[in-house]
Amino acid sequence: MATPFNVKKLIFSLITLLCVVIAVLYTLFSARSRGPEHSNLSSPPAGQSSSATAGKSPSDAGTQSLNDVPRQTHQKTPSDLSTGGTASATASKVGSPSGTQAEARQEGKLHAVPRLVAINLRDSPDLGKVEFAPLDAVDEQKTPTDLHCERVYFAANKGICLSRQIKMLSAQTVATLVDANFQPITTFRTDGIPTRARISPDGRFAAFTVFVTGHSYTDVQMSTATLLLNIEEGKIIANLEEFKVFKDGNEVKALDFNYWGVTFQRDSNFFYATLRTGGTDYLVHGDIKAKTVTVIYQNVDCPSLSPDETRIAFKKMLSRNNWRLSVLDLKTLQETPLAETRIVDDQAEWLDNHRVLYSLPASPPWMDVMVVSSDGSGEPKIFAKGVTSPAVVR
Amino acid sequence: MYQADNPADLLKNKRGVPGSRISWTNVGSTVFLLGVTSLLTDISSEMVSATLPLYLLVALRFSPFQVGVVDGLYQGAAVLVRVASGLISDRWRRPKQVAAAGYGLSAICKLGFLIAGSSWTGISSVILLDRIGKGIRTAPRDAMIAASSQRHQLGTAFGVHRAMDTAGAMLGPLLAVGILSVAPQAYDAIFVVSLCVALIGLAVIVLFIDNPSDEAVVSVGDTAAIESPANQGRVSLHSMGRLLWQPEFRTLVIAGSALALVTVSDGLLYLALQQRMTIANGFFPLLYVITALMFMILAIPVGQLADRIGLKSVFLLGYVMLAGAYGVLLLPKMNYPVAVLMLTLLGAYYAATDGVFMALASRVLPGHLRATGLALLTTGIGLARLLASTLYGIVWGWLGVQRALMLFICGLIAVLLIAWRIVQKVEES
Repeated sequence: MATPFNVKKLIFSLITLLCVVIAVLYTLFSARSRGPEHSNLSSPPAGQSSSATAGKSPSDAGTQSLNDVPRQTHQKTPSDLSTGGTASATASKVGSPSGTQAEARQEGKLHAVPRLVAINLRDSPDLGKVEFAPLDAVDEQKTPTDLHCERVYFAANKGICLSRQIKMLSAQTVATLVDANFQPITTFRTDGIPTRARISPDGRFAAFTVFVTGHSYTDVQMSTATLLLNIEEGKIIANLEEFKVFKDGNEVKALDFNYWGVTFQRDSNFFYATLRTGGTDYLVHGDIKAKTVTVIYQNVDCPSLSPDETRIAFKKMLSRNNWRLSVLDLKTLQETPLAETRIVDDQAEWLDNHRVLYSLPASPPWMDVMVVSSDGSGEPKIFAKGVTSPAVVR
Repeated sequence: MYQADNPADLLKNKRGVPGSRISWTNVGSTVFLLGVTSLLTDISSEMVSATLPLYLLVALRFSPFQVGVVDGLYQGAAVLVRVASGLISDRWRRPKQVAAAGYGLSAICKLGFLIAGSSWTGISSVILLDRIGKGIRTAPRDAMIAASSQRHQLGTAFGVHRAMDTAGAMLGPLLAVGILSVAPQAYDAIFVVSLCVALIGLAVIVLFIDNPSDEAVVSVGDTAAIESPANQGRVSLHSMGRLLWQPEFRTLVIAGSALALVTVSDGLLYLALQQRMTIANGFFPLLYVITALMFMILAIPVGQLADRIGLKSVFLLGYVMLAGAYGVLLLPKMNYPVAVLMLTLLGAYYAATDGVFMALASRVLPGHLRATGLALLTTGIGLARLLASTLYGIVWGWLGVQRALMLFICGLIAVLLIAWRIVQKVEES
């Protein structure tokens, strides 16, 4: 090249100066516009800042009158109560709500009639918040709450709400146990991002699953952690990976156990879940007291037990990232693919003994909750528009 | 045992090197400048790599499965273009321009992240292009390092480059953490800073590095005059095929790939370590940091050692280190000092194999086909590693971690013994 060395040096100095100035200014500008105080707030789905929802006064009172459950001010979970920065989840009690709120709410209204609890994904001020509605009027009689979740489940007057927080270069899941009025009781945190949550039909136990990701996008390790909670004691009982695993009568030992998708029986000491080891997804039956799980079938993803406990709705993996919603008869081990042919990535929820609910992506960030017959007949229909994470409260 | 084999090597190298020790400051400005470019580019790319999963999962709310797909793109894309870029840079004899194109493409991709926003196709295309950029630049860059170094300094030269490269890979995530602590969730700031750093790196290669002159190419890469300047002619697919029939190069490809086939990927070794001593997930990245730190510290001294006692001995010794690291994982008791020992062995393995093997291949390859040859070699190793990870995954699920490691140690020792015999026949100077 003919350019003299000094000219090159000059060009290089200019480029370097320009780049450094832009980098520094942009970072400072971002720091000013965002401010570090936002760092510990849980962010709601679709990236809206949750700070906007805190302390908001209830404005549209008309939506509440049907249900007698007034809206409450969103309670931030105190992040400074978590102890230790390790992977083990930490629990913290949340102080009881203030007197005015206690006066305002009325116990048990959630259960007056069977309801659908789900997360609102419609474009409205309540985006990312839990709402509930009677099963026969899910689109017409919605009641919003101030609970922000990415995944929610309700049973027996207890709820679990999963949200995520960002801490520097890692994401944490905050699992909040709530009462029938959507008031926080206890929070737990653990590393990873939220995916599945369940509460046992008797309200004694809860379980949730997080994805624990790897350190970089060259190495995203899709490992999961599933934690069992005792709701009454407000304690984590176990990470399922601590349970002994039995297959064909023999104990199996491996280091690559990954569990997800717990679904409880009415006798809540027992549950079903998916266990992946050696690249295979097994359906396991778990015993909490004995701390064991037993492999009963394979290629079952995200099981969901029917109310009569005879069948399991699940995702059957057809190929990587492609699942078919199916039902497994627990007695005959007969599989029935359901009429939904689109890819379903959800833990299904039984509406009754004959129909299952699941969420399906509509145009993002929308999701619709769909309903389909559990015997493989009929066609999938939209059950509730613009919501996800359905839970049927009977 | 390796030293007993090598008094001849020592003597041979001593002839070329008046002083017994080769100063690492003596490697020539091109190697340093390429090191600076790599350092800056690695800062730029690693600050994005460290934050991208979070950006995808938390800011854009991709599902982990989508991130898995992105990850697959990342792995596969580089392999495809590597050989093509090596061939083109040899054919045009313009390794600098080809490498600069690769650096430039990756730099522009940082801008692409800002423009792509939250579009799934947008983001995955940008990642694909970014990896293609990496695939383009690697082989011509290594060929330039070889072409601008003295034969007896190749180990040191590659050592200096890898030390700077790894330093960048360690600084990148730190810079990202720094930015996120000042401006939380400011992923756009990460991309802007990353772009700026990459542009400075690009400026270094474009402005200050010249293509090695043809004479240098011939005089350095003369490998017993396998290809005399007269019959070099045009570089084509045909000459690439002929290259694979050259016995010494073929030996290296076979030995390198066979060894890679019994190499367990870092991620899986860390996972095994984590399972043995329950390392908190938050500390998982620390395992990478310690390994990289050891690699960085050891790269230059090990390169110097290789120049003194022979590149092939050090290369094979590197795999002995790897076998040692597996062995440590099988110890009955695990504690932090033992874990650090394992990570040090792993870092030493990288220091003794990564740059040293490229140096060894550079000596064997004819100068006018060096980039092509290095590209073929890294592609072979890359494919073998991918296969090894899959294989290990299967064996792990089947036999459990302890027995899988045991099997891989046995395989590694067996392959190492064979490699030792065949690699010794490769004339390195």
